[in-house]
Formats: sequence, C-alpha cells, structure tokens
Amino acid sequence: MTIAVAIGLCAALAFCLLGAQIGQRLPPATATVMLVLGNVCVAGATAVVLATVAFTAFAQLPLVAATGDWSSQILRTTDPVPIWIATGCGLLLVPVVVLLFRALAARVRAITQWYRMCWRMEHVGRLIVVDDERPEAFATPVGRGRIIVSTGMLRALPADERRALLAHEASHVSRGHAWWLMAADLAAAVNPLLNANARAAHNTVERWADEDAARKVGDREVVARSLARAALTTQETKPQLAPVLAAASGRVGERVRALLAAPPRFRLLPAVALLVLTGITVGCAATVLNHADTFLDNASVPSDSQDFDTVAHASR
Amino acid sequence: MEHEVMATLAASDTAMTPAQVRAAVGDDLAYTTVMTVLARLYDKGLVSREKSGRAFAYRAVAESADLTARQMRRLLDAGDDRAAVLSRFVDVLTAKDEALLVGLLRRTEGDDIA
Repeated sequence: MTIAVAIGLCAALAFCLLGAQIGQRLPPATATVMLVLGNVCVAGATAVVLATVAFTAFAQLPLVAATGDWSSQILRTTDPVPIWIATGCGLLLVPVVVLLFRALAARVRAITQWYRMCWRMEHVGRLIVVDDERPEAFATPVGRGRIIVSTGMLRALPADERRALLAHEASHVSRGHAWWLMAADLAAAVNPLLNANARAAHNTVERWADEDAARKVGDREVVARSLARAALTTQETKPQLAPVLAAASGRVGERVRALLAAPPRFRLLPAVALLVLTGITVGCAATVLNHADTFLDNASVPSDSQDFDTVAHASR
Repeated sequence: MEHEVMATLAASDTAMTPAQVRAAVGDDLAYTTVMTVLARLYDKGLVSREKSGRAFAYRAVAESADLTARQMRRLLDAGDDRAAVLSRFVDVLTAKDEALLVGLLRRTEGDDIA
C-alpha cells in the first residue's frame, strides 16, 4: 500500500507540475480534453486516497468498529498506516470539502445571475446584441448557450473579422467549453496543485475556439486580425486596467502568433505522457482502496455466523 | 447565418437594404436567403424596417441601452472570469503584444492598399 501511495503521488505530482507544459505541445482541442480529464481524475484520486487512509484510523474507533464487522484491536495491530498520518488525512479532507463547495457555490451563483440576465434579453438564435459603446464579446453557457456582443465591438470590426468573432464564440457554445473549464476548476479546488493545469485549460479553450473559427472562416489571418483589432479596441476603452492585469493575463499575443503559424499537428508522445500519468494515478488510488478493503476484511470478526444462518434460512 | 445578418445590421449606423446586407455579409449568399432571414427577424421584432425607395431598409433593434448594458457591465466587473462561467473574446494586452498586434494590422492594411 505504501508503494502504491508513493507511485501514485509521484505520478500525480508530475501531472500537476508538467501537465500544462506537455499540453502546450498538443493541438488545443486534445490538450483541453486531456488536461481536464486528467485534472478530474487526479482530484478524484486525491480525495479517494485521503478518505481511504483516514478511514483506517476512523475504523479503529470502538463505536465504528462495532457497526462494521471488524475488531478495533486487530486493526490497531495490523494497521499499515501510522495513526497520525491517517488522522492528518482526515483533517485534510475538511478544507477539501469546504473548498469544493465554495467553488461550486460561486459557479451556481454566477450561472443564476447570467441566466436571469439573458432570460430577459432579445436574442437571434444564440446571439444577443447589447447596445453599448464599450467593446465586449463573450460566450456564456446559460440557456443552452448565448453569445453576447456589444454594438461597440461589432462596429469596431470589418465584416470578415466580425464573422471570425462570431465563429469563435459559437465554437465556445457548441463545444460546451464552459463546462470543461468548470470541471477543471472544481478539480483544482479539491487539489490546489492542479491550478496550473486549470489555468492552462482556460488558454487552450480559447485556442480551440480560434482554430474552429479559422476553419469556419477559412482564413487564419482573418481570425488573427479580428483578435488583434478587438484587443486593441478593448484596450483603448480601459487603459487604466492594463498595468495591473498585464502580468496575469495577456494571452492574446500568443493566440495571434499561433494563428499566424501553421495549424497545430497532433503529436503522439505528449498525449501518451498525459494519459500514462493520469492512468498511473487512478490505478494507484484503486490499489489503495483495494488494499484498505482487504485490510478491513482480514480484521473482520467471525461473529456474523448468525447472520449467515438467517440468510440461509431466508433463501430456503 | 441569422447571427451574421443581425451582427451586420447592429454594426451599421444606418438602415440597410437587403442588397447592402448581402454585400456586407459576403459569403456568396442568395438574395432570397437574406430576404428570408430579414423577414424572420422582422417578425420576431428584432429588426425594424423603413421604406427606402422601392425596397425596405432594415435596422437592428438592439437591447435597450442603459439598463441592460449597465447590468451586464456590473456582472462583468464583479468578478474574476474564471468563476463567472463565461469566455471573453479578448483579455488584457501586454505592451509587447500590443506592438505585435498593431504591426499585424498595419501590415495587412498596407497589403490591401498595395
């Protein structure tokens, strides 16, 4: 069990530290899917291992042992995990649960707010045009997906670039990007080490929509230009924000560079690397769970022969 | 398709005839397709129309400005985009990126002239 925990921990750590970088070498769609699924698996494994190890201590409480069919004495002598580690794991579960619910609540609140907002607005298909001078364009998953664009943004772009923008936002909506990101973020709430991967997924999703738009419009440079013009127009309207956030975000440049280059190709090695790291983590968590199960079985008290009889009678 | 027609109308300051819409959307649309879309939008009350010579000219009826725009602004400013379940088209620029983008636009516009 200790070996399984050690191997799983190494694989999970490697995924947390390298996932984003490996993902960069993949086309954005593949990168998003693998990073998000990996994040969810690693977060799940984290929770399962913590809960399992904690349970080995919890099961030794006389009251709990009485409810289950095992002896707390036998458990105590055979327990493979030191009691302080198990207790630590149990205590760690508290912030994990709290963080998960806080993140979930924030998103439910946001969805409700946007739902109320979009519900009242006139829409053409999925498009909502808001009469606002300030340039703004975004997609939200509420109400089967809405694309919200301000007249300020529409006026800033020539016709072909407007098509690129609409194609980009339509890709977000039809591919359900927001749900992928939500899964990645909730996983990162469970295990904060996954934060870098979740942030990376936010970038790959934008790149994914850019590539979709480029395919739809049939011209990569038009998409690059529309991004450039939209970003510069947005910048002009709120220059005071720039210095604060510049360090944190500013991925537009990278996206434009990627669009001006050739379309990304699928590469096997990085994909396999992400898959293997995720697989090892999940496998090790399953092993830990399995070990704990046999460990409890071995400590079981043979006092339930009576139950056996009852079952035998009933089946007759 | 509907999206593009609506976006084109909303981007224009003046009312547009179906021919103008068709030219702006590009994409080799049939005139009748544009007419159908415009008629549908008009039925839904999303565009208004006025007589312009022999044809109608159409104008987008955008979401009434003040209230909606203000509410949207408040929601957008309220929080970090990651928790707000939306994806914005562009985020903030770094100075270096800004130079790249200005360069790109200038270059392509130069191409157009040449």
